[in-house]
Amino acid sequence: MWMHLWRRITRKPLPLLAVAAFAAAITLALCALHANNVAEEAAYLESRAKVEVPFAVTNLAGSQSQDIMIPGFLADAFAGQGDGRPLLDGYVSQLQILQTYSVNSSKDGVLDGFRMCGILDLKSDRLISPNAGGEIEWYPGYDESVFQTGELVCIVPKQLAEEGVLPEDGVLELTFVGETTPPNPPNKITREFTVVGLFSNDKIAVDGAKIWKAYCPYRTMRQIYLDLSIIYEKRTVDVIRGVLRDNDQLEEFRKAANEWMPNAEPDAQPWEYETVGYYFTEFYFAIDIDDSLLQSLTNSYQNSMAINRLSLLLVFALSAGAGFLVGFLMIRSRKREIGQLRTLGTPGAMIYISYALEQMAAIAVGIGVGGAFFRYEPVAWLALFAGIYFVGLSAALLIFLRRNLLASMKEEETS
Amino acid sequence: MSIVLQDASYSYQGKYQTVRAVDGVSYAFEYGKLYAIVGKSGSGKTTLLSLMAGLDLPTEGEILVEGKSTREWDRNALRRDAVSVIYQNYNLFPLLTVSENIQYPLTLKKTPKKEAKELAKKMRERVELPESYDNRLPSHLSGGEQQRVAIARALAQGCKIILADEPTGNLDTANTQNIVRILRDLAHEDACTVIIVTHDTAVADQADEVLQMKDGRWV
Repeated sequence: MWMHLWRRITRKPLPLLAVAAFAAAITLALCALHANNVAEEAAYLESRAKVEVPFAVTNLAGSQSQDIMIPGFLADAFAGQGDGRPLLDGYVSQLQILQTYSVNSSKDGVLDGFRMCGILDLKSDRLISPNAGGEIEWYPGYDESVFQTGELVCIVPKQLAEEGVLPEDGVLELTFVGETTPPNPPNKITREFTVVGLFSNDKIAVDGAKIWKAYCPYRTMRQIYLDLSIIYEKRTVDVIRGVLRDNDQLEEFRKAANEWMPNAEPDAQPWEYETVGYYFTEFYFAIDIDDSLLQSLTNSYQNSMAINRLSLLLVFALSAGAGFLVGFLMIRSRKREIGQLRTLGTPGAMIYISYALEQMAAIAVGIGVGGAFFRYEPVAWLALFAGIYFVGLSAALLIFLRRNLLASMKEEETS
Repeated sequence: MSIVLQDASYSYQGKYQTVRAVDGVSYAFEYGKLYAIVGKSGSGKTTLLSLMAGLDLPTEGEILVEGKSTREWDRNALRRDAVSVIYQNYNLFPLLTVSENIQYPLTLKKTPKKEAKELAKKMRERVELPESYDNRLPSHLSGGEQQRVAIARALAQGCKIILADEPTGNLDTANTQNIVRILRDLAHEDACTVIIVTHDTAVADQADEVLQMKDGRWV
């Protein structure tokens, strides 16, 4: 039987070479598919990391208007200060917080009613955002990193310098008044701000009635609130937005943010202060995360992977079918040989093993040749291909070898 | 008795109807005799031979080989150790040499290689083929020579029962005579049971006993 096998391999190699060629082709297809999968995954991960996922705190209607008055403690959570709930600063970058407070009075009275805005980032306000045409002339030694500090510095409109309003020493003495719970009198504090830059924006008109804006670091503005003893819960910010630092943390960020803003609570009670109603409960705010680009990228990747998986299934189905067909053709072309082997008393199992070994040797050669170019990656798929082919082949061999010998020989006689 | 037929019948499902190829035949074959089974095509003689060789089981009745029913025999062992079969179309393995063809049954019995080679040589000589034929392929032999190799292979099995289905069907007169002579010698000198199925009356005339079949029955 083994002599038969050897002679078949050495003297009639063409059918086996055809099987080996088929195996090599399938191997190349599998390796190429795998390489494509790996490349696509790498490209997806790289793109995914680069996609910016912006977020913004909004009211329940989705408005990001500067009038929605977001509770200050939410800003603290994003800026890394909180009350025990998981802070959000680790999840975000390019954080923009805008907190505005009116200047009650200034030296010489010129800047009365001035709005001082505390910011973490230039993009926090359209007036100075580079994205909206804002330009800043920094004084020597200063740049936008000053807004990450808690220093008493600010930038003011260029028009002030042009109109000669700015003091010569560049220091603005500003007084702030804080509202307290009646009947307590309001608190007053005075702070000296050093001007470190001038801003202009030709595209955006300054608010009407010459209500000027100036910008200081957010932490400075927060400290002014604290120094004014303003009721903590009443402190509000106008804008909280930014970009996710790590897109893989999207769900974690959503979960952590919901600890602070479990919105859509229909029975949440607003807190009212005298004649003006302020809604300070976190139930009235939501976080809008724009992950549409990320979703689109992920969907596209997943669709591509689904197609690849389907292709893989087709290849394996083809392999099983090919194995079965080859087994069937082997039996059919060797009827006489099988008949003679069995009439001589050769067990069917020995015939099956010999034929199966012959085929699997051809498959092994094909995989060896085809897989060399890709260094046999992925080994698991190649082993699965060989296994599936073997199953198809075995099914055919076992079905057709079990046929009645007398009937087979009669068929052979009459054919 | 080597083979005993006890009311053996064989039916199979043909294309349009059930075919009763062998219909209730009984006979007892003895060692040391040459038998010829004659009959027209379709009379059931080849089917009967195949049943005796254990290629299938009778659908009714019994066939006893060396005293044991074919239903009780392991059929691989029956074909390997008890019964040798020679066919009309030689059925040699085309990729194996003459010596390897003769040795094949010995490899199934796990005979050591050297011993198998020696035995094959003896069988080759028995059928009067020269040593130079050992490494030839069957395609390089004449019809008569191929049939002699088939007989040598059957002898190598060491079975005492030899069944031959039209062994001279494709041979000329001279080769036919040679083959029949070898088979007759096997029966008479080696005390084998040799049963030949044949159309050829000249072959049948040389048998010790002639049995005629028609429509699956003895005539």
